[in-house]
Amino acid sequence: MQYPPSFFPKQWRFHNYVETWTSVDFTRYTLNTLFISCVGVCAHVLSNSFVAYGFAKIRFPGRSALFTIVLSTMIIPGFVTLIPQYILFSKLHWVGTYLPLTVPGFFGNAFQIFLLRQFYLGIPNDLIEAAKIDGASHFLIWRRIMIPLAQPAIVTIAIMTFTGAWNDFLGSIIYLNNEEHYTLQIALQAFKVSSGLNQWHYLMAGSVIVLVPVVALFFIFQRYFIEGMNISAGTKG
Amino acid sequence: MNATIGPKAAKPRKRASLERREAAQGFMFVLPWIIGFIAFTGGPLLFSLYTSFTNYDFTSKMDFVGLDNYKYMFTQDPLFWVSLKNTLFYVVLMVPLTTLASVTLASLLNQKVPGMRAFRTVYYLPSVLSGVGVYMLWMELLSPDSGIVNVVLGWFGITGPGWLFDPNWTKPAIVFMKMWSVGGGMLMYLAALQGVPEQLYEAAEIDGASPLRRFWHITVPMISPVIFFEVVTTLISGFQIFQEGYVMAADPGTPGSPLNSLMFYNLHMFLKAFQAFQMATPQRWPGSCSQSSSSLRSSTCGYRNIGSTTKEGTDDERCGDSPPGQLFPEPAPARNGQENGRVPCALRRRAAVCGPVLVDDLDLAQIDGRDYAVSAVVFPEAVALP
Repeated sequence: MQYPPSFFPKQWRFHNYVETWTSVDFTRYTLNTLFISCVGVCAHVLSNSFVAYGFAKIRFPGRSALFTIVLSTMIIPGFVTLIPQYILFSKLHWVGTYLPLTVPGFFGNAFQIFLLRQFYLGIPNDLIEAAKIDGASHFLIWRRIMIPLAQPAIVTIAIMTFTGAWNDFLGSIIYLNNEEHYTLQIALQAFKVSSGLNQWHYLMAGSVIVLVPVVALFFIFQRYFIEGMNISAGTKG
Repeated sequence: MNATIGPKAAKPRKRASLERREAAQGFMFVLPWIIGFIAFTGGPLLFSLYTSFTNYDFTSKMDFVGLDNYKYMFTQDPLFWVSLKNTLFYVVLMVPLTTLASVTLASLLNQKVPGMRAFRTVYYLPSVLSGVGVYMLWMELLSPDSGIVNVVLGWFGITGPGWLFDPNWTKPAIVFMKMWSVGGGMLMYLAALQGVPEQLYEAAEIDGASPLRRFWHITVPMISPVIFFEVVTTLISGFQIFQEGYVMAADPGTPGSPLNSLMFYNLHMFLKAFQAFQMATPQRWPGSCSQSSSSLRSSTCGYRNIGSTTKEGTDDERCGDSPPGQLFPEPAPARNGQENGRVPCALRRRAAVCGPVLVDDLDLAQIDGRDYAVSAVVFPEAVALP
């Protein structure tokens, strides 16, 4: 290695990527991670848009109290519930499977519920009234009116969930103990531990491989992303 | 509608039943969250509270022991105060700096200059990137000798610190890395800034207020709710720091190294619960990992023992086992980067600890047995590459 390193390499070695990819079962880990991330996205989009509709557009006693609890759970650090959750999942014999990483997604996430609720509040109630007069149920209104109109916010939470699941390290390292189930993040960490700190070219190739999908996704959807994050837009409505 | 025909008394009753149906539907919609709250947040919270007064070890016993755990934590646990101090230090440094940076960045990106969209995208991008890949990139950037940060500092005649290898600089190094990904907060501020009425600035300008004064007396009060929200969420996430201490440790096998300077509260908790015997199943103990079906566990056995190195130990001495009762190894001496590539040693150590693992220094693919160390088997060729 040259010291100090030059900014522009004298010689490009794209072979690093090939070697990194083949030295490790990257295909498997990519598919694993993709699976967890995609299930997570479906789960979060479904549950959070559903729950947020209940909080935003249906009147029922105790709604504001419940919503206050939703908001307050954002303050609870995830680590406080980590060990009891692990115990719960191990009693259910879920440790070593993807279930602990995916199933909780079907039960809502406070921040995303909050984000979607803010967005829903900006959607005029007239639309819902009109649909009701036409005999639509709340379920139909949610599916046919709210989801299409809240598209920017839904894309935002979908990307948030995807990158969150893609980058998740703690959950994977705790719950996945079978090498066949490993995700890219554990694989990369193990790769780092195993190759030490003097195989930088492979480590960097590995990092780039892991990061590229997230960057690509970001550039494809960035228009929605910046629009959907605007939490103050919803409060005006 | 037959409301005009029917008796007047029927109307309120009908409305009441409609309301009840509406309420029932509302509950149905929020039900998933209620179930999730009870199962994954509320229940575990209460369980945590109760177990903190017992000697629960995950397998059999769960006797009430009063405040013993707290007494141990406050008076005997050698790493509790260290980890708390590290976490506080990090939070106190990180929160003001990232808040300042994201507010400044947002105000700069709120100017009406052509091409601003591209800038916003560029500054936002880092905040969607995280995880091991990014940490590794930063470990390279912050490398004491060849990292670009110290090279650039060198151009100005500054000898850069050892960053992740100097216990005094590890936390500032991580804060430095966090400054790179302030895009999430920036976006929140940007949205808030766009909601500030233009007239306020115009009026202040006519009165002769300088840009700094306009920022301080108009912008800051107008976006203060968002600042509050962001500071609170940054504080919370700051206290939850874990992965950086695990991944960016100077010694890849000792989370929190060098000298426990990256031993954060959550990392300490994680290691105690999942790698030491408190709240761990017996098969995770070093002596019996070969019975365990999990390769990850074997690797963590390795981790537990890596730290227990003697200061001047030879390679083989470093591979030695530590007594199973030792929860946390003594702080490993800080090492420089060159010494860290001792993979064969790490593998031999794991092999020694975790049972039937045959590891040849030269041909790492020849690992035998089902229960091997994660890094040895997942990446055999990677280690042996020329």
